[in-house]
Amino acid sequence: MEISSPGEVVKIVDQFLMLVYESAEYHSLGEVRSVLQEASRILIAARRRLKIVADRYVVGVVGLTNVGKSTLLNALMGAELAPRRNGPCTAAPIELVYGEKLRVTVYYRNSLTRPSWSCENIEAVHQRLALMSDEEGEVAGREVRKVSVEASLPLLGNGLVIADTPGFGAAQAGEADGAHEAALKGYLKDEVSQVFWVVLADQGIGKREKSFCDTFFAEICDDVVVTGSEDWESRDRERFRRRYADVFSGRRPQFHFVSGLKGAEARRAQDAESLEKAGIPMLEARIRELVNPAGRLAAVKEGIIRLAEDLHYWLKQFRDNQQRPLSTWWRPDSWSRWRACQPKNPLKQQLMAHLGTFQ
Amino acid sequence: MDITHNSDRNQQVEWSRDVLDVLQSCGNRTAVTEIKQAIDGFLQDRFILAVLGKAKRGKSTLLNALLGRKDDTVAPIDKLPASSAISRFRWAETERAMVFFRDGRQETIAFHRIREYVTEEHNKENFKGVDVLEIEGPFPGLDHDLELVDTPGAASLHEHHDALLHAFIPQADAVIFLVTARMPLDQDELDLLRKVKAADIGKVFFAINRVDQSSETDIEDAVIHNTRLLAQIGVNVERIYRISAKQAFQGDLAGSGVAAFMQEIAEFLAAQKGRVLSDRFESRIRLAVQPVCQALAVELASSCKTAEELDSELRALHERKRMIESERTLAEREFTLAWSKAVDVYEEGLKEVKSLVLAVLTSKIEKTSVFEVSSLAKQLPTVLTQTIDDHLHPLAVRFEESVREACNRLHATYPTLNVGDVGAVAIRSREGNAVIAGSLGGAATAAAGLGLVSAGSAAAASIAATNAAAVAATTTLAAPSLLSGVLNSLGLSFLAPLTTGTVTVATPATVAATPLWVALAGPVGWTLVGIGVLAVPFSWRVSKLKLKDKITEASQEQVVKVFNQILTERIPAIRKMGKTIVEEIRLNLDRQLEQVEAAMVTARDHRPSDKEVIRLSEFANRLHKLIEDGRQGQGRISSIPTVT
Repeated sequence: MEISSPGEVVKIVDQFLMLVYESAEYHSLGEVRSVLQEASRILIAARRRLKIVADRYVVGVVGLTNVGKSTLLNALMGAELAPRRNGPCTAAPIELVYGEKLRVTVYYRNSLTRPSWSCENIEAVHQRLALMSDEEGEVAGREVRKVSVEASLPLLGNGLVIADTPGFGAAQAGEADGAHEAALKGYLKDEVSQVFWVVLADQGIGKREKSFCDTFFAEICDDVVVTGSEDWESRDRERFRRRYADVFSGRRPQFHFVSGLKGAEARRAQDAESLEKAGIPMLEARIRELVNPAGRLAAVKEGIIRLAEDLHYWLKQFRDNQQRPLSTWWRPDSWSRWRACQPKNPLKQQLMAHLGTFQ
Repeated sequence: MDITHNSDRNQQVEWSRDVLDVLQSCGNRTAVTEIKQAIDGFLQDRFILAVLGKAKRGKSTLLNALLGRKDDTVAPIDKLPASSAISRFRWAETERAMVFFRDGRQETIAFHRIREYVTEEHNKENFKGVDVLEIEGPFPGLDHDLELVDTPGAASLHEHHDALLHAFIPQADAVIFLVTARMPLDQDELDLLRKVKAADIGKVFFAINRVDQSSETDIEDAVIHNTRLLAQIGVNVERIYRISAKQAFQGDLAGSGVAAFMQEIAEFLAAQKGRVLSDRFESRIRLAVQPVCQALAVELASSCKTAEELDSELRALHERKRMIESERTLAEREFTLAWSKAVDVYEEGLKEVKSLVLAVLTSKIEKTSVFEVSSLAKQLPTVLTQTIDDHLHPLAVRFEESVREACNRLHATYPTLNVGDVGAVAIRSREGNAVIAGSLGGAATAAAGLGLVSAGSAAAASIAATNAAAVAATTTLAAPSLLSGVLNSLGLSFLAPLTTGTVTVATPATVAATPLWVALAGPVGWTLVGIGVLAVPFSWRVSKLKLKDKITEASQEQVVKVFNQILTERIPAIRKMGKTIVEEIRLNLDRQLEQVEAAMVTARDHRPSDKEVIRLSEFANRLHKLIEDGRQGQGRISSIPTVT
């Protein structure tokens, strides 16, 4: 297999995006335009994933208030680290980071101070966090940018950071719509590389969640974790998948059916079989896959090659219907620029093989 | 389990049938027909209780439990959001399900096929074009005057569900609002509650469902959170119930909290809203009986007068009739003019609103970024109905105001016939009261001298008094304030013409019932009931609407269609309403005058024998007694404060 450095891949993705984006503007046909726009979105997401520096990869766990994010995280971590947030009161995300010792650090939005406490045990961590949401919740809640909890957990290696985000969607008394969500939105945009979207099996996905997803993380979310699905037969799971596949408008997210509750129980009981049944190890494997920098680069490359294939296939089909010459699909100047970029790079050559058949 | 107090209702129907019997033996056909219609109407008139909430809150499950079903055939339940249409459930002796389609078709289907029409699974995005399902059957839990309504969940991904809901909410008389403890009350639910509030639905039964799946502390937290938010948006909820619809559906009514919940609903229906239906019914009966009583009173009173006396009284009556003729014509013309002017203004305003709506929509679509276009396309049905509603609202309110004023004026200026104490007939007009037929002429009293006559006149007197009471009662009772507290004023002022005089010709019940019903159906009711839903295209194909210009085109087409419909269907209907009101009020006075006159003529031409006087008194006494009995029931009703 060829070796492309991350830097080269970045350049190729940029050029590819330019090609697709400019061509989308250039076309007059609605269908072509929307397909190229879709491709642009996928490339923007790929670009975003590459941009994140290699020593830190934040996986954000998002979902409506009370869907069971914390329970799921506890099952995943094998430690009751994630605090139970009762009600939608804590506005700051909590990052779980690898560290030799248990430690809680608070980052403020508008201050250099970073108060930090080392903790004896998990109980102490919880107390610290509870103290924060009680004392500072109302006044300083919006100023706390994030809280990080360091712990030596096996999953948190290789720069993986798991962020437990506050739930969105719940109405707040005495607060304008969406004020509460603003903080979370900012965090997702600035710091999170990959989103795992947690939904409750028996609640499905609603309009508000969908619009939240569209606006803030659709591009960086390939995984929907359906929790509370312990009593869901595979037939029902398939129906769930079909019903909500449209949420990602054309993209194909993976649906992971798990049970946070059963998983957490199995962890406590150290019952590997039940843990497996609750779907936790599968999810863990998926996260590990994303964490490995080389794996991530490979995933991005794989993704854009698949995209080129898809484009090729779609345009060809479309052309067959319309009887239009192939060469008209790309904007001419964008195409020349694209051709000139990194001609020797193996990835580039692979992409050209799909896109270049139009010459 | 009974949700309403059926016994009260049956008693009332029995009572009205007794009244009917007496009238039939009197041989009064007009009143008989009117009462028969009233009974039929009453038996069909139902109180609409809708179950509302977001998707997956257990609405259909609760509904099945309330209906006393053991399976989910009539209200399908699924792990995924299931209900995609509005289903209305009524009691009937035999099972029947009717599907009403958007295009006007209807089809009777077997119960096991309901699923094919009301679920997202089998009727995706409502491609079958279902408007509503009416499901009847001998549901053990459903009482005869209640209509339970299952609705699709709000704020699901299926945009047409919201559009359906939006159009339906104003029709509900009360709602059961379901939330769960697990999911804290959110913005979507608040939006839905705001809609309920905007539709002036006075009563919300707020229940936290699935309490069996949450811990006590979670439920407590939810109660606190919900109470605070409900107060914030100003929705008045007396109690937050805790139920488990699932347990109830599985048979444990008591343990699920649903039994207690149903009990409270039953009490509410019996105490408040259920009464409104019966009040309306009773007032209708009274209005039908009124002319009969008047005629009887006059006839009895006349029976002891000489032919000459009656002749002169009749002449006075004719004279008076001629006099009021011009006056009533004037009042009618004034009313007709005011009415058609209001309609003209409204019609004119529609054009402006139409272009405004078009402009608003177009700019909204234009401003939408490329990435949000497809989600906009999905939301379009709701956006359309809401934009139309919002912009039509001020115009509709203005229209209602002018129409109400016209109605009030008509009542204030229209001549009225009074039958006062002991059969004294008076016609009130702008020129003051004129007593036409003195009931017991001095000589006649002396001449009659018999116990029979005094018995008769005593009966007549009491009937007159009853009448006074009856009509006075109508002023508080006849208001069909079923749907809205705010519109109470509209309904009441229309229906309570003059409470000052003794006995007035009360508003014909039919006038109050037909046109005002439409008005009462919601703030924008005049124009939007049944039309708002038209803004939702028959079958909304989102996939075809990925482009802005196509969305613009489709929505403009839709708006134009809706406004055309208002112009071609609603406006003529509203124009006709004005005519109906005039006709009804004219007819009512005519009918009364005619009966009074007939009674006097009968008395003059065929001097009633003593036997006949006894018979008439008997009728009068029986009617009197029945009306009295009815009133005892109503004393209780009128002591209950009206919903405001």
